[in-house]
Amino acid sequence: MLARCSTFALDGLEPVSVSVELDVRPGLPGFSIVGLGDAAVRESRERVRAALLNSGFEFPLKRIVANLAPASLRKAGPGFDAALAAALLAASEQVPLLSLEGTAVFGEISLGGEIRGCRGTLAAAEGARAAGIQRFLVAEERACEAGLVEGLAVGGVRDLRELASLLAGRTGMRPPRGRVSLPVEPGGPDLADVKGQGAAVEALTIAAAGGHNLLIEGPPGVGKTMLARRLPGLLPPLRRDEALAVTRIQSVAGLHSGDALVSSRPFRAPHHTISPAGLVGGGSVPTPGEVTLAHLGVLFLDELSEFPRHCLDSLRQPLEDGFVTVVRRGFTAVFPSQVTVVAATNPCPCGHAGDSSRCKCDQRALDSHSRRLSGPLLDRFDLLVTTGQPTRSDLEAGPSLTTVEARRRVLVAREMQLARWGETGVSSNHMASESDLRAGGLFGDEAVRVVGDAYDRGLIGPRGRVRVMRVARTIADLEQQQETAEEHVLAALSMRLRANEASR
Amino acid sequence: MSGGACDRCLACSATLAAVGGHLQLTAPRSRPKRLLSLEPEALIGAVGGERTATLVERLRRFDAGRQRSLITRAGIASACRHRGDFEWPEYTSVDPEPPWVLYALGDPGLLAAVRPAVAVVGARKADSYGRETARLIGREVTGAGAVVVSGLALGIDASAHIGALDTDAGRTVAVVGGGVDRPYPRSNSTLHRRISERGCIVSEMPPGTGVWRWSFPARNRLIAAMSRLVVVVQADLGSGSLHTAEAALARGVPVAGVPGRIDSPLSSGVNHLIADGAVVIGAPGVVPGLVGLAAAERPSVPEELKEALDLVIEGRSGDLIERGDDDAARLALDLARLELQGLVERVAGGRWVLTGGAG
Repeated sequence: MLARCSTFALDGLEPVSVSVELDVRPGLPGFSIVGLGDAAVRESRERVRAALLNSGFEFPLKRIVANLAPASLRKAGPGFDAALAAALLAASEQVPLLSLEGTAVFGEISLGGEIRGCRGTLAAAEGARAAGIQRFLVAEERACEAGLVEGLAVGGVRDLRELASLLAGRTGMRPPRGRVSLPVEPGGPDLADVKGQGAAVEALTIAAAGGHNLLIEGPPGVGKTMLARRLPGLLPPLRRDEALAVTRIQSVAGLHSGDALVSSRPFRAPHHTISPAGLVGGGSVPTPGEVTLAHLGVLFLDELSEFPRHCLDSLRQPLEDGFVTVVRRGFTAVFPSQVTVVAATNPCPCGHAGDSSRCKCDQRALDSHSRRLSGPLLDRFDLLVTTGQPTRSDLEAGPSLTTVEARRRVLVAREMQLARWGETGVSSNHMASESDLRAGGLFGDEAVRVVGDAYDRGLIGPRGRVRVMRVARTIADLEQQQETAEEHVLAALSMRLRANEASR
Repeated sequence: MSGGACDRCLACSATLAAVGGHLQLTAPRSRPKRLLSLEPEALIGAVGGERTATLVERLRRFDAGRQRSLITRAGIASACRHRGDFEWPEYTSVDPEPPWVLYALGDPGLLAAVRPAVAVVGARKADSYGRETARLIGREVTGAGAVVVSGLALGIDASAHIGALDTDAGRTVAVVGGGVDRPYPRSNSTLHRRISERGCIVSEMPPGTGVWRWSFPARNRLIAAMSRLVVVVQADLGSGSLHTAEAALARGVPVAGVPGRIDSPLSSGVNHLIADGAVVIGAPGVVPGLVGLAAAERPSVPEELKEALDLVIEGRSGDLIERGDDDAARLALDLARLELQGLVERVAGGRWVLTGGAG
């Protein structure tokens, strides 16, 4: 007897429909699985057998062959257990054969028969909807996550017995419980905790408003990390499709708890000992890296100069393109990587550059520091802000600007950008090209003249010129000005990155 | 015969290079006093040891014509007291220990005493205060029409040269211990190239010569000899810059020092010089006056930018900017305007410093 059950495999972040075909016929008793499964799939035989027996079902003493189609796709993980068990129940006529029509089952099985959730449930559910599946059965703990997909009937099941009675039509589907709405206010740490650092807070606001990458420079212990952690809260709330994308990534990476849609923008702060594969994604089965885990959120690189050069170089293309392609033997995966990068660095090896009574670095140390920092990655930063020790009065002052207040300004600026280039594919100023910026009188004559003067003076290069124009435009958006004025360009110039000092 | 130094002086200079290692052995710690001006036969006799015969033979077979054409082909000018590609500098006639030959890469016109030369020297190991001060003095001196002389070492020397190159005139002379075609240290090779393009690199050793311990004090005496004033910016008690100061005093050249923190070892040598009576550089802008030049005129600053410029001079710009309030926002705009005029520049640590007004 042959039974078929649908389930889903993950190819990177993409769900691929997999048909579990299971044949039971007389012969020497045995259970084999074919179809390019990994070790976890092969071990599935033992789990399914024990689970069936422990749940009071019969495990047929016949020749059992299961095939995971398409056979050319490599399949990994324990997510096929439940589908195998369901197909086996149907093939051995313990549940009606027709009950598996239009049904997908996704989950791992314990020896006792409980169905457990596994990574990538949301992606699998999206695949089920796309494949026209009517019924998606999943571990109860993950039902809520799968329920985020609209237009798909999701049923949560606790164990194999419940799965069987549901398939046999003895019980109805239990709809998932839980929140699926988006909270309005951002969680996370509040900007009001930051004392002093007015310039840095302003730079954060500009970065949030225009999507600009920000480099924070300052001595140790003045709160560079603290500032960076507050950027996700300043960004506009995730739209539903964005939230789904973030949830899917976190689900695939095993970071999602399974109850609700992720509502806050991700903040990832990889340590500088990370490998390039960890940063941009990799592994023999491609898994998303930190830049993808930070998709639509903030990637924070603390101690930028400590990151190995090849790691930083590997970030260039993902930051430029907004996605990263990982190619491994037999696999090609495309991961999204639209992130705002915040990096922090000491101004010199000892951290006290500019404070001549404390900085003890000689020229050699400074040169090697700026060499480490230089390079094409710095070209991706639009803003540089320097933080210093807050003064006593700063620390004793009452609460300052809150996240909600600052975000109000950001949202206004974002709306201006959306109204301006909603249809051009430019999501925010940091993606605008020079022709975008010069179109429609966005730049006043005075502003253009200042940009030209700065270029003549050698303060900015060709790339820096566009960066300064983008930041100037964001500053104008924050002030709700239709035309970029001289002051906006000057302010942008005062926050530009220095030309590389090592190239003397 | 083409131009360049005379045969005999080229031979003397080549001998010096040939016995460089011997000099190192004879005077491992101190300077080879009075040896540098010895006639080559006497020099070989003094330090040649076992190799005396070989060295004498090599001197006898020295082919001045070939040496001259090699030098010329490398684009290097040479001169001695008898003849040369450029005028033999005046000071050499009174110097107690003059060089045999001067080899010059770049513009040897800078060696003539038409313009006063100011040596700006100091320690290789310098902090940001020292480097910024050296750069500022370098700019001021060049901006006022004088020539900055230094030794192309790391730290203060490099910053002084960079300061001179910051200006339009870019007049600076680097006196090096080895051959003028050998950048030393290697990390300064970019600066070496820039000086050879706009200033002049000069040495008493033939091209291709490496450096020995004694090369540095020897080079320092040339710096002292060709300068009208020696400014020591930052030096500890063991620094070679004190040799330069000593050599200057022996030649009657005045010495000035930039005071440093009394608890900083980096400035202990300079502070010691000042205690011994060196001229104190108490403020930016006074160095040109010490050699009888007026400081370069600052381009006029609009009234509304004066306040920002004053804050830069007082070194308070960075702290104010970090506050990020409305005043800071206004100040940031003014600083950007000053930067556009080339009057200030932003440096590491989020501060703005004067560019010396030579833009």
